[in-house]
Amino acid sequence: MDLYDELPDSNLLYDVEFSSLLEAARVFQVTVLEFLKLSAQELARTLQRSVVEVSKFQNLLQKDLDEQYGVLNNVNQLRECAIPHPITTGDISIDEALGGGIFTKCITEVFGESSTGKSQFLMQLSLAVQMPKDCGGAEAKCVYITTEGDLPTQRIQDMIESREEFKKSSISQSNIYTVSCNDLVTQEHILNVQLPILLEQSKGAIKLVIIDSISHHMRVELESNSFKESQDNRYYVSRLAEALLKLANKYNLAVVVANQVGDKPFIELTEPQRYLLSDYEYQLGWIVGWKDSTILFRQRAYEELKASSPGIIPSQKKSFLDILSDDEDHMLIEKEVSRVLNGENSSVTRQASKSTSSLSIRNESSSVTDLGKERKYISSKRKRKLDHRVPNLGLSWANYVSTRILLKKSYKAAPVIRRGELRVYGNIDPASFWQVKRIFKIVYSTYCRPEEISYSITKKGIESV
Amino acid sequence: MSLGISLSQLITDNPQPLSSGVSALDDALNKGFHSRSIYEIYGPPGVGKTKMGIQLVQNATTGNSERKVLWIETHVSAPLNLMDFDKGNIFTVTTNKFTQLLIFFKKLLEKDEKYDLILISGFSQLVTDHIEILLNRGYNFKNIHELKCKHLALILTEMTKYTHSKNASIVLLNDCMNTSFQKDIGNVEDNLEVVDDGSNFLVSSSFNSHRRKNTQVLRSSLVANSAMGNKDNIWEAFIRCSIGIFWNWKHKDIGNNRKRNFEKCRIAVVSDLNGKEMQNKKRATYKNEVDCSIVRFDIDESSGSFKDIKADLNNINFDDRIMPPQKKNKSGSSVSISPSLTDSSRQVSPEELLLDTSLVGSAIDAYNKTVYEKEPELEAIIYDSEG
Repeated sequence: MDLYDELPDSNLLYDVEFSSLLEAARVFQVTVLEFLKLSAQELARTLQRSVVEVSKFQNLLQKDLDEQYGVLNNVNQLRECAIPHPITTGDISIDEALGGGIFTKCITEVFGESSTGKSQFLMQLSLAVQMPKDCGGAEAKCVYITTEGDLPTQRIQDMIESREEFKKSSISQSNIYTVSCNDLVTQEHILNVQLPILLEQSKGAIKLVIIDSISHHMRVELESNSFKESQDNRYYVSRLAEALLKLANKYNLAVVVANQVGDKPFIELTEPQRYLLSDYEYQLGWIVGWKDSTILFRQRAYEELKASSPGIIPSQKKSFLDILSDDEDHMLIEKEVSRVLNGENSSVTRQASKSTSSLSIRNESSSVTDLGKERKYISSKRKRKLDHRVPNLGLSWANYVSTRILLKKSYKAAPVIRRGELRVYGNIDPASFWQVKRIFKIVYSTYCRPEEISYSITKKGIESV
Repeated sequence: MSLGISLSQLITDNPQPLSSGVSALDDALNKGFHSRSIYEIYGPPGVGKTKMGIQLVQNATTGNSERKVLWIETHVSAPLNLMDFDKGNIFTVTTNKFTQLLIFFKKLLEKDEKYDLILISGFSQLVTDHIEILLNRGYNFKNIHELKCKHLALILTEMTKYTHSKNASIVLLNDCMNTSFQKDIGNVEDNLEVVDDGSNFLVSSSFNSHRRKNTQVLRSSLVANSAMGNKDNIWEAFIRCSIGIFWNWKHKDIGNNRKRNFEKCRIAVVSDLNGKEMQNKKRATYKNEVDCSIVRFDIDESSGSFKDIKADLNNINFDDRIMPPQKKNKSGSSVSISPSLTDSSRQVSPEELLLDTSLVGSAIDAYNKTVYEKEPELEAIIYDSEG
């Protein structure tokens, strides 16, 4: 029976007088709600216990519940102090886009592939929260829970020293409580036991809890091979989110978590398939922050199938590929490289073909299908690659996330290519063709509108450009 | 016919329905959110459920100092900082448990506090938690769907009592979940029709069960949780309209031209669960055949709130993706809208139907056990073919 879940502090749990009644309730699968709603006679019949006993229990149960919820259920006039408020991220443009910063009383998720700067951003937050209130900070401490190794303290120290405002406000690592957990059991213990105790003892001095990353252990350790298991996992995820939100609400603090990505590859189907509006696949791209062209392409790809004559895969049809944007950077580079190579002897050509093949790997811009297999240097049109990464833990997690941020890394043509100066340098080292381009994308948020900001990772941390 | 309305209440004048701010949505709801009604809004994260809730609060309180609003928070706090209007008449309370909410509504009724609008953000999370707790305590998985329906009917009964006695509207803001569970498989009542001649015979109707393989559908978390089944109509009877909000492209010719204009908008799918708004002849319980209205809206750049889309009529993205391409016509046989997909639809064999008919009796029994407090009118709602 669910008595413990409803009334964890009740004496009824241990009362010997009712132990056989509770046992009967367990056997006959009667829940607390039935005790509240059904008449004593009816219950007594179901449970095969005496009416007197049942009605006595009902009265006590009702009394306990009223007591437990008596104060909690009082309606409050809106109080300003209990309203979620933003904490600065340490970057003005990012703060602005987020509606003021990272909000308290809710979960903010930062996801992206590795080396996109998730941890950099989180470390920066752990320092920015210490800033004085008139600078947008919370003058507060922070908890930093890592799941993949220890917190890189040297990097944090560098961040502090590279920023005047951090040094001035005497921000230090001593205000960051850090702990690392190596498996799911430890993680559970930290989140369910140690963290609540620490927050209780610190009496509101902590305003930020960071977990880097939330899905690391869960992805490895939780299996889902059946409906039951996947439902269990959904429940595990929502219980975790609810525990975090409970702390966030109780202490008016912000919870920021990193999330890893999983793969959702585009699969060529052979049967036509038409998605409906409410289909998960149709809506997914908007929930996980894919590019518009990717969303449309993946929504329509299987519909095209029926329209095309047999044997032709629609994603190779030229008109359909127009949905995707051209990879202008890649085409520019190819053009430049071929210009350099023209007129030079064949030994260099061999070297160049080697360099262009490594090019396509670097740029992750190979077209959707093997369109480019027999491609000539200049004539072919390259398409940017389809997005295929999705944040872990699915909808059951996403439903609890108030702000979802995607950190993205891509490559664009280096200045030397864009200015057409490759010939001048005569350098055909592919590494010099490309330049990293980073995007901070707000996928959705309760507090602000979706937006994209370019950023770079510097000594100071994350800076918008 | 409506739930538990006494004659005296019918005489009292009804307040104006509450406008959502999107006139097309108001039209679909027959002028707006009505008093004495419960509504459900659900959708994927980020689509704007909370924003819609805030807009309702704003519309309810501005220009009317009499109206009081109660926002019931659950796990996720309400973003009350986003309400940049007079908050004098807005009240909040936090409930984290299904039972707590039930007790809250009981007490609220006793206390005689009047709120014109009550929003419950994250209601479905409380329901999902409640189910999971029961399952973890060894509740039989086979019966969990019926139990969910029972308990939901119970709490919705309390809410209905409140909305009727105080002339209030309740709006549930729910999550959605992905599920591959298809309601039309083995759904007894849907395969059968009541012959409208006073006799209680059920006859099978010819129908095409359109099943799509490997497809996950987004549905309200009240439906798509561990306790899925085919008797959701038991509690859906209490909800006047269910509004699903989804994303879609704004323009029809997206992808066809080279302009690459990827504008998107929100689509509200208003399911008229009880056939009130559209004067449906039959109280359909089959989700896919409930009449729905489709409303397109989006954030208006100048005001920042949800507004209708004034679109170029020649370039409206006709939302033909709303319904499965199959709809019953008047004679009860199926008509496929999209001929290209008929090959994947499936005819049900007579054996299967036979199997289903044997379940009818038990389904009705189960339903009768559901409502603890006898509400004869309610039974009539679901099984009265006259509507």
